[in-house]
Amino acid sequence: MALLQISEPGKSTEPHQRKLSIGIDLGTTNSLVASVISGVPTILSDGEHRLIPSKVLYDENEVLIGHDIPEHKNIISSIKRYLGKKLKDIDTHALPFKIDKEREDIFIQTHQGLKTPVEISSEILKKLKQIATERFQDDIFGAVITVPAYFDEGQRQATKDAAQLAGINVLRLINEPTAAALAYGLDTKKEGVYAIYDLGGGTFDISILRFSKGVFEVLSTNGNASLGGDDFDQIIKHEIIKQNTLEHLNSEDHEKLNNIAKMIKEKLTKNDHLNEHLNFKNHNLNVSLSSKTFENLAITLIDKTIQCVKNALFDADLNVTDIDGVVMVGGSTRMPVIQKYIQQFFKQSLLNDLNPDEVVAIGAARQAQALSGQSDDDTLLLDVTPLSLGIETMGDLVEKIIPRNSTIPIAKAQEFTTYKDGQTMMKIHVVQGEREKVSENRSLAEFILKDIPPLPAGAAKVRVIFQVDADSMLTVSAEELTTGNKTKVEVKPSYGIDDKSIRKMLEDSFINANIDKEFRSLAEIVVEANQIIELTEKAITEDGHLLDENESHSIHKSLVDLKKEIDLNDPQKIKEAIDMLNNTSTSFAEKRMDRSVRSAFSGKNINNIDY
Amino acid sequence: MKFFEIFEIKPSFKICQNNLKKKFLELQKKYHPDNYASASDHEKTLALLNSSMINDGFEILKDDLYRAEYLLKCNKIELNNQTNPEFLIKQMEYEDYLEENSHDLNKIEMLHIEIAQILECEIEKLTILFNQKNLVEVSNKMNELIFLSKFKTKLKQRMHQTI
Repeated sequence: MALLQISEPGKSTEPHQRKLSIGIDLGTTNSLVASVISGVPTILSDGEHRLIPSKVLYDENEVLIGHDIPEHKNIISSIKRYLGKKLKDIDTHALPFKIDKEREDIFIQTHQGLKTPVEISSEILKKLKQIATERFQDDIFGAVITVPAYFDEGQRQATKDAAQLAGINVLRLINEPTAAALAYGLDTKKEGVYAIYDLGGGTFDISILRFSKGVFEVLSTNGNASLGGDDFDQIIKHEIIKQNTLEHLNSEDHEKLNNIAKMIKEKLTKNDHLNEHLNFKNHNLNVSLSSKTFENLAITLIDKTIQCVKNALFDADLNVTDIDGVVMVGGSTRMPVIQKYIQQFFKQSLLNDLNPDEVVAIGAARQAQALSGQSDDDTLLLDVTPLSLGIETMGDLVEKIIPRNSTIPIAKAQEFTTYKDGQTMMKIHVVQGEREKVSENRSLAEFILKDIPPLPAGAAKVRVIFQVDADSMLTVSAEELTTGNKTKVEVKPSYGIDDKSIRKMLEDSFINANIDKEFRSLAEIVVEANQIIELTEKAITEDGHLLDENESHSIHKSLVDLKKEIDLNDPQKIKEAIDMLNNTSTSFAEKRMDRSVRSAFSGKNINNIDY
Repeated sequence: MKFFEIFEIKPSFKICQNNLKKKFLELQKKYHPDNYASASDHEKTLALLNSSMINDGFEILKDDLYRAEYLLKCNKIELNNQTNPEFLIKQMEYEDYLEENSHDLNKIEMLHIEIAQILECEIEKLTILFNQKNLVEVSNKMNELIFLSKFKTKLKQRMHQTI
């Protein structure tokens, strides 16, 4: 038997031991916490509210969350949009908060100093955990946290880090549409193929799932990690600005207008036409908007989601007619215009009998219950990877190793070889995405496999193994097959977080960013150095007789020095040694030129001459 | 033959897909990491490795071409990487035809049907070759089949993009 032997999975060994588990929906706009109480999944309220606004205020001496925040101008909202991202990934204009623009990572200015999106999210998670511990008057064993299906590795890792900072034991990250399907399927017990259309405050997911005989099988998933209800607010805001010719708006004004736009959007779900007179900066603000006009403005956004739906159906190898039910999830699906177009597309009425705001948290609570071994039903959940994973090969191209929509967990190995004679190192660059070019995908990690035995090009064999776990998190390892030399990396976002000392690492994260940069420049310079060594040695073999003893001696010495520096890993020193070799070999390059063309090349060294 | 062993299926090219799927779900119900979420780290790792292997095996066994390649590999027969020149010309004709008609949905659809039929026919022939235990001839055929299968996917993708 090729499978490994494990003991039977635990129905809890001590039957009376209570393991409290919770499900958390960490949303862009609102967050929820739920738990299964006496067999019934229940949303936990803070006494008054079930939905906790995902807003954080750092006051001089305290941190306030959600409803606890008084009217204030320094509220941080929609932080989920920035989780796991770098400064270069985001639009820094019209941000609702101030950031430190000098750094690679996102740092937000607060009254308590600079804070990262991970830290800010962890404050929301702490609040949710506190609601649960106060309700149960007991410690929480673990939590299932939901993430948009289309979150990439960096965003997932950042979510896990935020949970760890909040002191939460993460049992599993599950995809939001999958959680919704779980809640829906288990509540209604209707089998079939479902489309889960999940439009939240800041993210859009579509998942196609089959629910049959106690198995939830995700067939495909697609989406847009930065498209949500907020974007519909923005088009209303622009309409207000246009109608009232507003100018010179600061970030505080924008925040106010965002709230007005959101209010108008919500009113439009119940009215066909709105005529609002509002007070804004001591001026009268008139807004006249019909649902028809809003529909015309919103159609491009809705089209974007429908394109994702089409792609998901294509990947699942299904037609619209194969879908037995369409489940609507997320507060934004309350917009009548969305319901109209999605109903039209699927040619059937929509299933929205569960509260679209709560269904994700309910599903997460059910899964948390099952994962902590406290549940009797043996439902199996098979989810997929949202995005393809691969590595960089020659010429900026990606070789896909795990294609998108592969059932997880999954492990795949691929063999690669050296492309140059005597190559002793290989750079392994892990990327995520669907594009063919490396530069157009998300870069996840880079590492170097060293000590490959010097062999002719194509003779060495390196096996790269990708392992994706049930949280959809990737680990990559590489092995040189003739020597058995191994390198392993957990692919973590490059803001470099260490499990044991998260807080310290967060504080020091700009130092890490520098280390990453150094690491990258080392990799590049080593490749350059090896190329130069190879070219020079080849030139000596072919034309060594052109050198006098002195020249030969100094070139050899420069070669030896450069090789030594490569082993010492200091990019600056390697660079200097390369320059030295270039200098000492200039006259050799000239000698190799035909006398008649020499003048044309004067001043160039051997590495600039094409062989 | 490890995957056939895991799924308790007799190693052969023709297999019962329903049986495979049933066995797959049975195995995942037992070994999926969700069953071990509160177990020790060691057991978690074992579950991760087992469950990954089950997914990998299922993917290989359920697909005709992957399964054929796997059977060849198990029998230590290398793929013959040479394509016969006649087929190579055919291959180029197909590609040219697709490029010339890249905006004509109707023609792409017709070609898709044609390729699907050829592929089905060729897989039937593969079944016979496996039955005759003529693995060398299977390995000679594989290149053509891989091309047809990839080309079929490409046509489907084009159809999806054109709609």
